[in-house]
Amino acid sequence: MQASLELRRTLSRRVSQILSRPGVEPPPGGPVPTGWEGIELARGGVHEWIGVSAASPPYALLAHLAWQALAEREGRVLWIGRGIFPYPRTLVRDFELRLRAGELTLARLPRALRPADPARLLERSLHVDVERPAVRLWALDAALRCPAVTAVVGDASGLDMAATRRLQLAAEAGRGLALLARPPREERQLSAAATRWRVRRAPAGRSAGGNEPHPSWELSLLRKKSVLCPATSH
Amino acid sequence: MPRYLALSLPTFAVDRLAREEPFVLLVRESHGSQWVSAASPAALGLGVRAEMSLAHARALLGNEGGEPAVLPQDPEGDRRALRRLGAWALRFSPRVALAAPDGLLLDLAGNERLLGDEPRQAEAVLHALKEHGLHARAAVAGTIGCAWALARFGPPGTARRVLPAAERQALAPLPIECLRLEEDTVDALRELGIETVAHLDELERDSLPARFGPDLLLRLDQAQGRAFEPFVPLRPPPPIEAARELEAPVGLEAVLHLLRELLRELTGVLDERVEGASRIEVELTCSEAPPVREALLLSRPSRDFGHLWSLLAPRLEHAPLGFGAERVALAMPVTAPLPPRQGASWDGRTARLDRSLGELLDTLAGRLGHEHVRTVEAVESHLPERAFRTRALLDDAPAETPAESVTAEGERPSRLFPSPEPIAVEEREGRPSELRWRGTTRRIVHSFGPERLEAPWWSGPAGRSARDYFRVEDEGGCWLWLTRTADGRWFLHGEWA
Repeated sequence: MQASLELRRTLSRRVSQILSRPGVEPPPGGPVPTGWEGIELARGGVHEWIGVSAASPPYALLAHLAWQALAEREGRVLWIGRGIFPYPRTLVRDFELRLRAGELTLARLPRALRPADPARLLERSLHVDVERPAVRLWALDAALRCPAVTAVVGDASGLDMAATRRLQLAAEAGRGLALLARPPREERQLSAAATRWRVRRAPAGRSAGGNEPHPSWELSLLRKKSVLCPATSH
Repeated sequence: MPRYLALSLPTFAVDRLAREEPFVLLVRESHGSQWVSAASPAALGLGVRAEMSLAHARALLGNEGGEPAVLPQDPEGDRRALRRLGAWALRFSPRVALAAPDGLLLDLAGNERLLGDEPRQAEAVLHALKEHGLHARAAVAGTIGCAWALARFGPPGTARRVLPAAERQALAPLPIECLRLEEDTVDALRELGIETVAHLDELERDSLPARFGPDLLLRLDQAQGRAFEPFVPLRPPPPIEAARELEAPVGLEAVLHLLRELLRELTGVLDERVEGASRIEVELTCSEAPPVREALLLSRPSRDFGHLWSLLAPRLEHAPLGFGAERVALAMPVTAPLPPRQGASWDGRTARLDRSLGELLDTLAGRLGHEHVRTVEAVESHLPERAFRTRALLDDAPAETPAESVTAEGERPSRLFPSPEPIAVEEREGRPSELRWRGTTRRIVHSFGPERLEAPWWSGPAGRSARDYFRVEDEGGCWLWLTRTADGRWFLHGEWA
């Protein structure tokens, strides 16, 4: 009995050695701080953003999060999908996205507060232009499994539950941050994402608040799988 | 009748490095200090000399404000570069030999019809070398030894040409070093007061081997054409390719099996050559069907069997073979040097990450096409639609973005329309107050601007091509980027999303 247990241990160790290809062990890394109080996004998890309109994903928000993911880790950011790549200037860190009372506000950073290498995200970004959902899913999956990719920002429109589950598994394998954008009409689409968020335009006037008005959005957390993801929000 | 062109490149080690930097110093280390072993012409012009200490050379160059590039001597690198130069010189003659460490030999016999007479051929070679920034001297003679000697010790100037059977006279006034002798032999001859080949000629031939060894007479005879000297031509490396002919047509499974074998063979060749393939071509000759050709481009050279196979196999899974393939051929027409993989102990992690990224990009580009995997660079332009340029990914070098120029401008939207959309705008006191776009009317609650952007002067008369940009917020909280052209038309150019 003891011997067979020992044998099984040895075997399982061998199997795991064989399965984990040498040299591609996922890099370590804690959750990505979003820069917003109390909210962190787990690496190795899929996070869905349902946003702003049918025509455009929440570009500023995705760029902000990709920047945050790169802040503590080397690697590449892959933008996968035809319309997912923002106007490249958005990838230059000269703005700030603040979250206060569920409202995101985009304001230009004063020169003194900009990072030393504002174009880092732009230089590290690659755009994979792919339209068809099936091929897009394949590309997302491949990118998420690569340990050299720190974050994947993907167009998830038209992907079903099974597809998101596959992506969640891929993200767990590669330990990258998966940010998926969906159009508002897919808010009810089932998904295996660790967290789901909705980004909506804040009606004008509310955002004014005495100061100079800035582009702003309402951010709300729709769902969180606490088991998979330590993301917290309040 | 053989004719040889000898090239001497006395400053090759420096020349090959001095194409970009004007001041190049090659140094060697001895007794704990660094000494200049060679210097580029610009540095020589400022008084730097070989065997000078590096500090001294720096001081000389510093006076002129020149910051030299200081590199260690690299004889191995020089040898490799000379080999490459030899391969390049094959355009002037089908037979090229190396005359290490600093020269080449070209066999000119039979080239006149194609390339002109000898002086013209020599001029063509010298001219081409000069274009590449390489200083060379040349000589043409009927023996290797004589051409070699004249290219180094002959009078400077244009290429020296020795007529057939005139080698003896041509060599006579040259110093004995020109005979490619051992240093000891030269010293011994000098001690006896024998300075030139003419002096040597006057000695009793039969006594020479006994006094100075057998080499002296052989070298003398080779130079003067009395003894044969083999010409060892440089062979261009054979192309990396392999093929299997089959007696009967075989199906896809067998084809894939054969290809695996061929790929394994060729990656072995790459291993030996320390190179990686950048392009791979497969050709399957089929019976009763057109040949199947597949070409694979790689984002970075690779000789990893597993990686290459994972890229190649999916391309051929559905190849239409007709009744089967009769010949399977694999070729790697484009290769590039690829140093051996770093061990895990030394920065192995970075290397592995680089490799896994390269494999990912190859996989993506292989299935989607190279033009669909892109990087974006900032370009020096203040027009928003021209400020960035996408580039298909072939090499992975991250472009240096001129960040300052990118962030110096005003606020820009996160989405730019591919082409500005015409809209109707109500103006109040020169500012937009209401806009109609795609059938909906929106009231504008905030507007900022205008920011005037001028197209460059060469694209139209001044003022005519200016555009005024406004950032506006409509009642729905939507932030838009509007522009008014010089003729008063309005367009929607972007959106903050």
